[in-house]
Amino acid sequence: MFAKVGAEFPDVEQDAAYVDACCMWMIKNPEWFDVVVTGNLFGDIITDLGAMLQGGMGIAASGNIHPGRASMFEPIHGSAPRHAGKNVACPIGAIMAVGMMLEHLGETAAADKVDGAVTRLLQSGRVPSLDARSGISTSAMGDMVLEELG
Amino acid sequence: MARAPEIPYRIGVLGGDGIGPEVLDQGLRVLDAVAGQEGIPYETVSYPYSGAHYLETGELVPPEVIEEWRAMDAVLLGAIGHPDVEAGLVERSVILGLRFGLDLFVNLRPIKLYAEHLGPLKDKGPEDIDFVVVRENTEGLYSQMGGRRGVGTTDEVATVVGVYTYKGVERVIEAGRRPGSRRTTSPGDAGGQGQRRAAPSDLAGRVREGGRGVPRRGAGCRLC
Repeated sequence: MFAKVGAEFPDVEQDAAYVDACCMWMIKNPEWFDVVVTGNLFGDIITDLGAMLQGGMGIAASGNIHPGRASMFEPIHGSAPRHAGKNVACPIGAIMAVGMMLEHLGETAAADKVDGAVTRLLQSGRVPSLDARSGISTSAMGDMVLEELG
Repeated sequence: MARAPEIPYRIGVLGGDGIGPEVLDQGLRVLDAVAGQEGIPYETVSYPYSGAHYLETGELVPPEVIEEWRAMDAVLLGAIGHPDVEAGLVERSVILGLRFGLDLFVNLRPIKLYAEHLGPLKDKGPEDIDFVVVRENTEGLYSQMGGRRGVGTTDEVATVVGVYTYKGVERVIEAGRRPGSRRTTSPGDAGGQGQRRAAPSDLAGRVREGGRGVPRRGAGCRLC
């Protein structure tokens, strides 16, 4: 199946791998990867590994998608009851989920703006970590993204 | 999927439990700001479904609400899970309700490091960590097939059936195949189980663009 679909896209290099090796390469040579297509179970595992590569659960977002139809977007972290109501959780994952939604809706310029604002903020060095110990409150982090958005 | 500019997008909002509403509020502030800048009309409809709501009312997601969501443009979810509710009960109602009710067969997970100091790997920066995982979202162990026999005895047997259909595998691979991407990797398993190599879980693809990270947006990840 993989090869069959691949044949329709001759300019895309295809590569089958074993999931255990895939986990090793994600750490050793993450720059190799562009698109990874996988089943539910292996996908569950490697996306959590991937979340750590990108700075933790506080930034990771996902789209649950049916192409062309109503789809759902969410930060991948859980409800973290111990942090609830304290204004300490990192909202970047939720903000990225909004960016993914805009892209899904075809609002590419808006999605690019959200991505750009988060990129500028995180590259400024003002955010030491993407967890509840960053020293930046949930609402202050929202303020900082809005500032970058201009 | 962009629509006529005068018709507002309709977006369902489920803050959920715990930190879900707090973080989603910040997401909605950003949405409001960028929609204002870009002239994107939208309206939100909030839904109470969560562990807390279940404890208060005994209510899970009713079927007619799933129908409502299906007619919307998108749904935003904060987080679901309450320590005082049986694990999985509300999660199944909301998350699986959405996933199966709206047939959300792709789980798209961009994996992008935005700044080197935030990543855990030595000498790997934003140019190195930038890819997407296209995960099948409705099959495999989500088949809801299987069962238990002899519960509580030493003869107990538990089975969970992983389901892979031709159509299910084909559509997710199609979703992962986008013009502009250079390499798709499909990870499966071998581990000496030769017969399993024929299984569609054997899909894994790594797509490489000249050995470097790829420009994220519009590269290989656009699904719609």
